[in-house]
Amino acid sequence: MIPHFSREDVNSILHYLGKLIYGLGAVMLAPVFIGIINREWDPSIDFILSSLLCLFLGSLLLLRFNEERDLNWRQGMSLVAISWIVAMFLGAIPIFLSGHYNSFLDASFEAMSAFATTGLTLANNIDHMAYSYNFWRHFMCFIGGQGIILVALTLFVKGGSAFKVYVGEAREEKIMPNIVQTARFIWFVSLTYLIIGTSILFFINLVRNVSPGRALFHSICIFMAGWDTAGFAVQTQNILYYHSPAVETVTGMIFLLGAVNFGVHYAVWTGRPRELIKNFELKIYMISILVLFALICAGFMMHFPFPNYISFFRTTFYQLLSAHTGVGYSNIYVQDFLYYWSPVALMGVIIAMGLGGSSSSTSGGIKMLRIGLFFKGIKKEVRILTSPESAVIVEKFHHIKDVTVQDNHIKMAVIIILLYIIVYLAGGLAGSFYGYPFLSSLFESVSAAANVGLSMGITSPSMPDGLKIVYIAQMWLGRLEFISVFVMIKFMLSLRSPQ
Amino acid sequence: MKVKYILIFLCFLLLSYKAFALEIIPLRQLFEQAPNYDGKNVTVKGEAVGDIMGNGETFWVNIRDGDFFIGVVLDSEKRSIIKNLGRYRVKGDIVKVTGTYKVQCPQHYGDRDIHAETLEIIEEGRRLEETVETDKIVLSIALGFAAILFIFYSHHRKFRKDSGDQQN
Repeated sequence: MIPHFSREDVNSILHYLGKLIYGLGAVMLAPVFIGIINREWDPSIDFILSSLLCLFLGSLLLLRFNEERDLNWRQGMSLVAISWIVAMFLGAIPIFLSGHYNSFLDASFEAMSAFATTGLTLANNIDHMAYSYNFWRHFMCFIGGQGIILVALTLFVKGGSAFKVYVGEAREEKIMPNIVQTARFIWFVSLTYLIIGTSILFFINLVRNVSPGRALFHSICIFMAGWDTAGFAVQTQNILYYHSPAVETVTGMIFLLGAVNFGVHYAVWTGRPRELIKNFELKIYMISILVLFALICAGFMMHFPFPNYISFFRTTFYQLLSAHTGVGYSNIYVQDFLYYWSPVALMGVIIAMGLGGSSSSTSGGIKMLRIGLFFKGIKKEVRILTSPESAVIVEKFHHIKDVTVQDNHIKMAVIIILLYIIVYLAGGLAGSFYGYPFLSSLFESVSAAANVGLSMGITSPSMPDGLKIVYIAQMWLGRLEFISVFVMIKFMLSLRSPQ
Repeated sequence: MKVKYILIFLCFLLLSYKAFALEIIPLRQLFEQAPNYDGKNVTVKGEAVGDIMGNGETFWVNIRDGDFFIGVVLDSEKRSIIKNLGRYRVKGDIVKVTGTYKVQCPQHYGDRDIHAETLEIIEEGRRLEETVETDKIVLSIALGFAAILFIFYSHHRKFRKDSGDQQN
């Protein structure tokens, strides 16, 4: 029997939650800086108010639950799941005050979409949004992509507690022996690419006569949402706004890098570039991209709406990579999916979204490593059935190091794959329940649960509130990969039932 | 007589073709009935938003009509007509654009665009005033004081507990 959560568990979880809220309050001061530079006084006050509210709530929790102990697994997992919900509500406050959202639910949807690096948006009129609010939308993507708790880890959390919350945020691999060092390495890589990626985008924008201030702002925001595979953009039209193949090429490279396992980044950074060729997960990724591109091509065989093959490649390959990496950047209008993409081509995009990127990266979805393990499992079973009974069948693969496939690896991969499929279908059915066509509903559901952000037009401020709540739950479940949410549910239930 | 009828018929055809260019078509209609307008001369209106991007002879500006947007291709002369672009606290110029609508423009790698032939401002944009709500400032100060009080009390309690432990 699973033991009940004790008072000590509650104390520990709420103590660390207080620290997390402190951290969130601290990062809310970054948009104040942007606001002051741009003389946005009212938005700056919104962020100061929200930051002080965090400081107030955080200090209240730390005053009441002041004992700091190392977290155990269930505490760590529950803390992560609860923290993401709390972060959603607190992160929504300043953008709700902006007046660009119809309700607090819409602002909460936006905050969860940003933290979970999804990129579906319910904002009205982004084109007239203050720089500080827009920066916060993208900064939430950056924080969420790195892991909200990971951000706090590097600031407040010490010792054994760190690894438990790290795993709770759907990251399994310790790149370095010490988890805080791992967190710092992830930050180091991200900030280095931030400087490189932003510089290139800034240069492109400057060449295209965009003023230096706006060019820098656009470049930083686009990098943050691209690297963390979130897919928010500064303008309503997303990447299409720029009408620039150069911007599309650079953003494509940024989100491809973001969808690569941080372990592979570490290997390359420490002088082992052969990992790029040998890595099992990357091989599966390449195969998957090629197969799905073939499927999309097949979808356009009967009806080819493009003026030439360059346009075809530019449009379809960008959507495919965007879907597969989970970024959700788009260089076409929503209506194009509806009117010009055949159901077969749309299925190619839906499958790509559902499969997702690499494990321990910023992308969502099932992840390539699990798909690889699933096929390894099939291969192993076939080999067992076709070999003499006395034979010992061993399957291996290379992922950072040589790994022997164990039955529990396959079991966990299959469980997570099944859970994702259930969530994808449930969201699709929910959309249909509200009267949307099933294919569009499935598209939107997979986009939400796999934290992608591409849309066929269902996600809008006017969609039913019930569906907004379904998508928020999907984004949350998908980002945390279920287990920590299940532990949190157990925690909540044990609070209600007598011991 | 026969020539006269042919001429009338040709005029009718020409007028019906040009009719798209005379009436202002909502962007929603251009998207929802795209095949009807593809490659035709159309007139649209909308707020110029964001930036004018490009170099050399070709520039892009995006115009907004309700929830719909489209990229407009401009030359440097038309580019200089637009003075206000819609941003935070700026209402952009409302422009009327007549030009060729392409659902998949071969010249721009499949972009959906309008190549502007004429562009005029029908409503000039302007800067908007920002109002600061004093309620928010008061609430911020109150929250700030409360938070400082809690932090101070928390540290004081911890200090007393630590010194108590040391005495024991």
